[in-house]
Amino acid sequence: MSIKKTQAYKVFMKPMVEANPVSVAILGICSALAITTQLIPSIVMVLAMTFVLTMSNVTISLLRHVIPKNIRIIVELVVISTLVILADQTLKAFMFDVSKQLSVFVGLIITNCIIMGRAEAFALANGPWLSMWDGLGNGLGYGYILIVVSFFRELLGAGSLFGIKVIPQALYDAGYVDMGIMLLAPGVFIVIGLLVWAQNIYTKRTQ
Amino acid sequence: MLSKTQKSFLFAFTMCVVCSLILSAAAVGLKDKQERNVRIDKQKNILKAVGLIEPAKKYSQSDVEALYKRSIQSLYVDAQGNLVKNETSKPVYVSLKNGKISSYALPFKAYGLWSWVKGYIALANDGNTVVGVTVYEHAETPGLGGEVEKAWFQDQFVGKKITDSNGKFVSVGVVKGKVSDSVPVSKRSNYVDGISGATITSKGVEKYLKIDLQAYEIFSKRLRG
Repeated sequence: MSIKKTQAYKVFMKPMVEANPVSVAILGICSALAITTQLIPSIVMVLAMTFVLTMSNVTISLLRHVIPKNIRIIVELVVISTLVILADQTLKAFMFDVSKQLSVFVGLIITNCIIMGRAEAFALANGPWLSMWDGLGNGLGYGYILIVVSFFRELLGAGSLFGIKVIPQALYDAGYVDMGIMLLAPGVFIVIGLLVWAQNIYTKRTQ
Repeated sequence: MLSKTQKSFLFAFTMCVVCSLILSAAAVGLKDKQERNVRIDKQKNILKAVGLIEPAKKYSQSDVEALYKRSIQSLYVDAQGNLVKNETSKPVYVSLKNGKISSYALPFKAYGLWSWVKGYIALANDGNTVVGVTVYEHAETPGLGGEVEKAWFQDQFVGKKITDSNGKFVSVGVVKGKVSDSVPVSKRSNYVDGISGATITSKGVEKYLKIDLQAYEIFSKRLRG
């Protein structure tokens, strides 16, 4: 059986394009606004987010038969917050500068509706193996959009990539100016809007 | 047999115990490393305030520690305004050049909108000119009060004076809006632009900067002669 036919593969690929949490469901926009001005913090954010999402999906899926139905939402929140605090503490210990840059937004992963949404919609109804792939898929589906957005914001807004200047000085001397708007909130809406547009064209064509 | 409610309580209780054990283990295990990061970050901010950190260069943690050890002397100001080694309530971080004070950084702590904004302000050896301002800890809203940690805000302080044209101590004020719109030319060396959308943070920085600089006046006055 080829890998493309397995259910895990399907679960993993679905949130990449056709059910992408950002460009289709328009979730997680708040964090996309806040931390995508530069590539490095975005990548760290994506890793932290994917870690939390995958682990919370697996944990909740493992506990799905014992969690009492009447308190399930608060139980999900406890699992998610524990994982987020772990991620935050680890960043503070090993990547202090990035953690300072991300400031409150690591803590705010708790409120990212993608995580709670996946726990409710997928992990409570499926086994841990598939839930893990669903978490990874959604984390990375959210992640590549963030990375694309921050690529354009950093390149056009600050003329650099990964903090290194890439636009040559000669161009500035010739009168080129960085687009300040890309570093502000409207820049994100423009980039995400264009991505959603591209996504819609693609989905229409494939249907 | 347990009732449904009892089961829920039991589950919630077990869940809380397990999660708090995991979190305490992580907090204890990572504490040393985090404290070292915070200490080095403070040292880096002191170095930045006195102008010894080049913005374009990358510094590893050991670079910062070595540079700090080499160029900063951690002293205290006593009640008479002398520099002493014994701990008092007024720490001062002195940057020496050929055995003479070239500049000195003092800590400031300003109440913003949500919490304390903590940082350093460095003055030159004339006891008057600001060399640099840095912020290493705050909890202001990113994009609004959070701008206190940004270079555009901090860089404005460089070259400002803490005394007016008559030599009287006035501190550095933070105006609402732009200095060029509201302050007469003769007083512009005592003011910087405020942060738009963050009047409370700006006013807090102004108020507490004055209090903290005043506390060190006994020392700064001597340098002004």
